[in-house]
Amino acid sequence: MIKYIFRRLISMVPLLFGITIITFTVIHIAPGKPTDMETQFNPKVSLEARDRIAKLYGLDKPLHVQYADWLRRMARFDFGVSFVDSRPVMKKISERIPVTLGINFVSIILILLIGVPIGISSAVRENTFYDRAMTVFVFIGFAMPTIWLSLILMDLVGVRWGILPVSGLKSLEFERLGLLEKIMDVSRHLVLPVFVSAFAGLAGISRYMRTNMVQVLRQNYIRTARAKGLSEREVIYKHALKNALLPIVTILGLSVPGLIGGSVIFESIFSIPGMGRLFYESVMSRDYPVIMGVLVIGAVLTLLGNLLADVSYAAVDPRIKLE
Amino acid sequence: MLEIKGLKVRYGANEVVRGVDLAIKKGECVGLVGESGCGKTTVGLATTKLIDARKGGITSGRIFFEDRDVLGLDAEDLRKIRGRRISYVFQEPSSSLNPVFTVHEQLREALPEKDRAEKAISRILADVGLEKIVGKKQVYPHELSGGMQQRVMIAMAVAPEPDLLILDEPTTALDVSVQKQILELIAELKEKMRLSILFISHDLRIVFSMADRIEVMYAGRIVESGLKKDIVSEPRHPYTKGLINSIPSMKNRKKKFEAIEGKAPLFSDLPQGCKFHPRCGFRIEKCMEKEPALENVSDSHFARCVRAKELL
Repeated sequence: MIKYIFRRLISMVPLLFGITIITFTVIHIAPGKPTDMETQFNPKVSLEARDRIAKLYGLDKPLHVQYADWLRRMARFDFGVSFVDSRPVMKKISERIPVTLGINFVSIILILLIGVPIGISSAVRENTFYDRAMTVFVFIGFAMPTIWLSLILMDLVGVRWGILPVSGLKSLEFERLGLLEKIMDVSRHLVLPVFVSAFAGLAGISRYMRTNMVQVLRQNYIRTARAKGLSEREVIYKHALKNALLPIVTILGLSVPGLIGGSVIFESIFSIPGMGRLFYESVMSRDYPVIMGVLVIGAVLTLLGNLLADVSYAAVDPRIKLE
Repeated sequence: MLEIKGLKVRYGANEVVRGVDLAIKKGECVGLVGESGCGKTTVGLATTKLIDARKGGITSGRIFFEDRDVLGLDAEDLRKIRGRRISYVFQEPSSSLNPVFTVHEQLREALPEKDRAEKAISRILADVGLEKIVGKKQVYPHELSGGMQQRVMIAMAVAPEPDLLILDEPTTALDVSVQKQILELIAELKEKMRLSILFISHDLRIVFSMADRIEVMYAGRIVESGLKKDIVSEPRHPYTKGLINSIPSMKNRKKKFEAIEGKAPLFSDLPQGCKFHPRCGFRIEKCMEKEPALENVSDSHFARCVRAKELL
């Protein structure tokens, strides 16, 4: 097992290498330059000044040389400094990553807590009115654009009803609050973003769960369990559930890139200072070092998610042995 | 002990068990034979209302187990019969055991709640000759061979000391040498535990080796019923005759292998009259008009054929 994990980690290196080559190239050939922000709309900045800035950032060199420079720094875990505020990229990301991971963690838990029971109950009541109603409900969440839903909720809940705050993570008077009030304050700020991301993710898990469960309930060993005289509760929540949950483990591990992508959207809408919004801002200002930093972290998280999926599958399914 | 009367089961639009009567006495082994798809498995499942409700259900008939009306029982009382008084061994052991639970755990579940002691489990494992292999706890079904898996199924079935064992093609998925071992095990347990058995199989040879009485099923109905010796020596229904003739013989190797012509009819498209007449070599005009009733040939021998008395 440990040998397997080690081998997988090693094999991630070339994969990561490939990912960075592609992203680096794509970002640099995309229209717009980091220097545009500082120079384009400023008539006082001469062409020479612009070239000087470009040279300072090393943007005048050919692309492959730039990549080699970047890679050389990366090898020392040096992500460089932001073009925008000259702060180390590592520092900017590490400030922001806990918020993103936190929100995603809460929303995954929520998705599991709601989606798994929806899937099970739909499968048990396959093709009934309840099953169809649940299908419609989860697909509404799936089909509704996050941006649109967020804006509607912000308008209704935040502006018209004034129940919840609509942006940021903390209120202005946050520093003056007691510990309990601080927790309440952050929680209130998180309700809408977490709701939006969980609602969108509900369809995936609940549908997977339903399909797995429907298939498992048709298996011969379920008939055996019933024939043994086990109660319907034991048949469903013990014999069927464990089998139906196995593929969910994999799906969770594979859902990392989707979550990171989703964070970019809802963090931007709700002005949450997380990694997603950092990415959005740095793309807008063509802040190459930060963009690359976020993408590398995202890629590493994705690859680790895949590894985790395989490892945990082997841990829960006795038939799978990792070699 | 078990009495099934006029059982009818419907899967969707098709009636696949079209009125079956069947009785098993204490200590008796009844063989239920017929081609695949004739409804024999369904009869076995219906005995404890195990038919998947999504696929179909019992439409009429009565089932009495020790004078209790099984079809009238609620879920709780039914559970006390299933696996406790009437237990099952199914066809494919590899798919009939839950892959993610240990053999030990699945065996433990088969015992009544108050009697799930380690000692009881070891004793049953010894009964089916698995004490060495499953003695250590962490064995999963996929780590066992097909024959051993079927031993586990049998262990699960006999663990609660049932009165009636329903064996649904227990050896069909196994190779021949393992078949023999499993049949010997069943015969041994039957003697030891004084079990009544409903032995469902398409393989007449196996049924002949096990059963006291034989019921032959065709297209959802019993077509011939009688003591083993009557069925073997003088089958009265052409279908039974065909089945017996199609057993390859070791003694008479030159004899041509005789199969029954044609295919079993679909339930969605059953022929008029006797359901077997399109394949029957003894067909007369009358066969196409009305399905004959199951009539006495002798006291203990019945056949559903208009020419039952003249044929041999």
